Amino acid sequence: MSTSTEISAPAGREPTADGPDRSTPATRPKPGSRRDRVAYLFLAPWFVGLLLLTAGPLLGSLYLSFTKFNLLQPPAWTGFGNYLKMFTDDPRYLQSLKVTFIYVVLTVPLQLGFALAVAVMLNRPLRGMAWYRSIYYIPSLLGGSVAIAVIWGQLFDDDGVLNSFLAFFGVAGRSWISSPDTALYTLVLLNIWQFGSPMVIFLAGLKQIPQELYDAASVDGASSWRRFRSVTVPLLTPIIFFNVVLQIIQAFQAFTPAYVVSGGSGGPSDSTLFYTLYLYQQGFTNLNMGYASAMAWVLLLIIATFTLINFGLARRWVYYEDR
Amino acid sequence: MTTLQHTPTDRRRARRWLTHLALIAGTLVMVYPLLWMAGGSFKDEKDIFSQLNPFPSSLDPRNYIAGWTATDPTFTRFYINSLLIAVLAVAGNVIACTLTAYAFARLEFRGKKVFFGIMLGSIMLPAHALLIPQYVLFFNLGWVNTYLPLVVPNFLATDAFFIFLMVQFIRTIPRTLDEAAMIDGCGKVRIFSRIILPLTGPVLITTMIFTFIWTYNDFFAQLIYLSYPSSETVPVALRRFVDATGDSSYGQLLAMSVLSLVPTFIVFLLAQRRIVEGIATTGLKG
Amino acid sequence: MTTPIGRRHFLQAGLTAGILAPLLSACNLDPAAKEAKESVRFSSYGDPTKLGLRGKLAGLYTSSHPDVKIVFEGTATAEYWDKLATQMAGGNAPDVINIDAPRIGQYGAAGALQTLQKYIPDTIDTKPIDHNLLVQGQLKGEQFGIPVAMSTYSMGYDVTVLDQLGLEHPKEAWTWTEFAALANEIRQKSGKKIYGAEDPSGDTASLQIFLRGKGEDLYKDGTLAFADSSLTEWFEYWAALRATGGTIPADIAAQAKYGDWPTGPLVKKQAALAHIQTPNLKGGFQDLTEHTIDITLPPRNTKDGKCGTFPAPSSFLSLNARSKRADDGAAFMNWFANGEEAAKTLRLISGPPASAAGRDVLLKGSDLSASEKQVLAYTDLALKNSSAPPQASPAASTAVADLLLKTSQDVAFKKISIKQGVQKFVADARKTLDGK
Repeated sequence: MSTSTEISAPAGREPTADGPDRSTPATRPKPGSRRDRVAYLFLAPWFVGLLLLTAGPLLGSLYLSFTKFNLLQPPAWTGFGNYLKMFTDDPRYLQSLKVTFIYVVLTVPLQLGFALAVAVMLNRPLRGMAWYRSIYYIPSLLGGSVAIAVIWGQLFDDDGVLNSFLAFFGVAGRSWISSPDTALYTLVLLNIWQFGSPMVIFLAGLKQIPQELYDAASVDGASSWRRFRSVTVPLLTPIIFFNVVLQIIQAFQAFTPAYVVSGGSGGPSDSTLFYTLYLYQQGFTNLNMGYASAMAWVLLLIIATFTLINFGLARRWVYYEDR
Repeated sequence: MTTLQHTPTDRRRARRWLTHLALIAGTLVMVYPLLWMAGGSFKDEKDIFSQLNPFPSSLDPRNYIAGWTATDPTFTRFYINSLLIAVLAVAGNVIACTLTAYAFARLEFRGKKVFFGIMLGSIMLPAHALLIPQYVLFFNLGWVNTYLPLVVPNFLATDAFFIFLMVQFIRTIPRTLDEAAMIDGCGKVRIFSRIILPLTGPVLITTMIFTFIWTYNDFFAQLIYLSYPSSETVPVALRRFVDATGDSSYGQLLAMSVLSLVPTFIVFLLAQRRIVEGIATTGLKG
Repeated sequence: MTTPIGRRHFLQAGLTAGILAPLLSACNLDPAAKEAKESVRFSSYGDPTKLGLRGKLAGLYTSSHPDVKIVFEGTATAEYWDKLATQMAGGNAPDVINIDAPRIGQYGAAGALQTLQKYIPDTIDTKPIDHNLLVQGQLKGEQFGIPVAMSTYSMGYDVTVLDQLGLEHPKEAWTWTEFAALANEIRQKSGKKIYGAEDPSGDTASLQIFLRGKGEDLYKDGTLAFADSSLTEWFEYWAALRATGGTIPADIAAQAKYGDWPTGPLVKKQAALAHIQTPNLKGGFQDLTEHTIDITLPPRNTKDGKCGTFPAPSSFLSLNARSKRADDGAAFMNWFANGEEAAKTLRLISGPPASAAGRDVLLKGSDLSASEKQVLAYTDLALKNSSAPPQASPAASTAVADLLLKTSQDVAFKKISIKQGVQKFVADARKTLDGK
């Protein structure tokens, strides 16, 4: 395979169907063949896990979603009552949907863009990169530690660092972390600050790209921006795709930032009432586990819809090496 | 490093300096809050929140000593527990998820699309809704108060995040390599162990790092399944320092939080080199 | 094809670990897990100090009662309830459960706790325990929780600031009007550097003190026990102070999450008046500031009116309805609540002992610290001034508390008017209390 054709290949390649299922019809053997047995052997641990550990709790929570269940007494069947209540009789539920959508729309592109930019920068063969990489990952090491609440307060409280900085310019600040208009954005910032995981995945992806392609492009006189556009991005699309899908899933499920920073309340005035935080309040504070389970299944439907759309769109822009 | 292969022109040198400058500026933003945390861990309880200056007046380690021994047993035991769980989880994820991911990425079999959908679907339900049914299951298996609920799922590839991650990486490996090996008489198992595994180095390391760090930090499952002081883990013990009904020991909280970062930071620092060295040095794709 | 040797070794090591790991983890069962079947499990919540002392007590009991082994399970407060609820749902909750007032109602009403009537008075002696405290652990006349220690609502003030500004300290019998005047004076005399008081408008405990002073209460027989106009008056009182700087602005109030002491306005010296539950005086306030903090009775409605304060159990001990070792559990509860060793070990860590027997032990000892004396003196004063205690909280009281906090923030941030806020709160709270 000559390198020059390889460079132009992704861009010029016909976008093809792209689910995980990409069997070539011509070579499809009969059912129950050796082909299946080998595959199922590889999948054996996963099958056991699915049947033993995953399927039961999944179906259990589906059942609970049709019941009234306070954790202390046996669940009582209520049909679609929980689902109906959500959309007709629960303004806080709608508020939690709104907060979560805003959060997803803001954090996913910002965090991923930032992570990709930093990953590309950290991928350069400069001295001290190991330290930069590690330092940039430190915020992500903190995860949802209680220390986060203390730190974020220290930055965005009324007497926090940001306001001291603003006061220097004579601007009067406020408590950013506890004003309903700005609280959610401090959590968006927190999420961007903890961009380490997608960054590492991008780094690993960048390393899969053969150096030869860059060398060839340099010989052809391509600028670094052009190399990024025509080599890096196309070959990285499966990894970008992964990060987009997973970050959307994780952003919809975001819990810890609001839980830790708002002390579990989703306040002030429900301005950080994330979907899963409200689900948690319903399930564990108010002991309405039936309602919480119904909320969980609606969230699953929402996330599944976004994921399916993602897989559909992927046909247009993701290029795989394995065809 | 091979930075100076070419004679650097002025422009190149300038650009390198700019990169460093940008990276250092970024470092400050990333690190300031942690600096504050580390500084606070050496301060007096009264000063932590009233002083803006992150640097303490002296490096008095008493918060560290008091925090380490504030619990019975001490943090020594919690670190042993946490590290054991994390290491086992890493082993489980690496093995089980690679096998599963290989099947989804390279093999053809009946029901593939459906199974792939189920696999991805299994991470779409929020954990809090699964907690009760899972607890009932593990309790009936007699696993509560053991490490099994925290470790066995990893050996059974229940973390779809890593399966999907590896599928995406395996799919960046050209199929021509598999085909060449097949012509040489290799079966699926040999292709997996000789071609796919070596070529997925960076993502295996990534999986190891993430599994280690996330398991180490995973507080909720450890809280629910481990009840006795001797089996407790670091993140669970950390929570006790901030308490709404009594004395909060913020100095000790910060001190122990700083220490709790050490194992994960070391793991990351050591392992990230392997991500970066990864494929680029093996020359496999030539 | 060149595979680096390093990686192959690495993978081999990984595979070996993979085979060994399940074996390893199977061997690593916690020894305590097996013992638990034959022992009495006791769960508790709190900070490391409290958990340490209670764990020590469990050990003491085990060593003095060879036929019973108490296994202690301690959890941080914030997560204790999640864990307890999960264990309850799984049928694996501890035998003796340390529980708070709202959950007694929640868990007791659902049949998750045992009535203790059959153990009183033979196994559990309730005579030394203050009647007013006992009542708060009763559901429909039956005892479900034994109070261990008491906590009393007090009004804390920053002595250092008041002295600097030349203001008089609040008296024992003072009114809400005087409170507002003092708060505004602090604001004015400090040159608007600090605010007068905290903003407790979203705190159910504070609202309860206010309501009780008017002869009402938060709840009675499972429903709201106050007039809409009283809540309107409460919100208007704080709105007026907010306008003059007599209380902190809405954003600072929202930042001071209840129970997160270092972010509280009294500790941060943003305000000079804030309510304090007596067990928190030392660790939650005095230890965190170099200013001197003192406490007095909360304000009343009129000069000679009732004071709303009352001694509340800081926590209870209850028996799991499904406990198989209930008799042993009950005996342990009695020892914990009335015993001399327990009083000597726990001291005032959660407030003065609820049992007179325990208080006597402490008073006889001559080793009381200054802040312990402060709390004991105040408790005496509060007991003299307190009126009949409220009933046990209804099952949904935690949800109602969240609702009040949210409504107060909506009002403070001017998202809704006070009138709308009161209407919405009352309607939503009624619905929540009815279990809809």
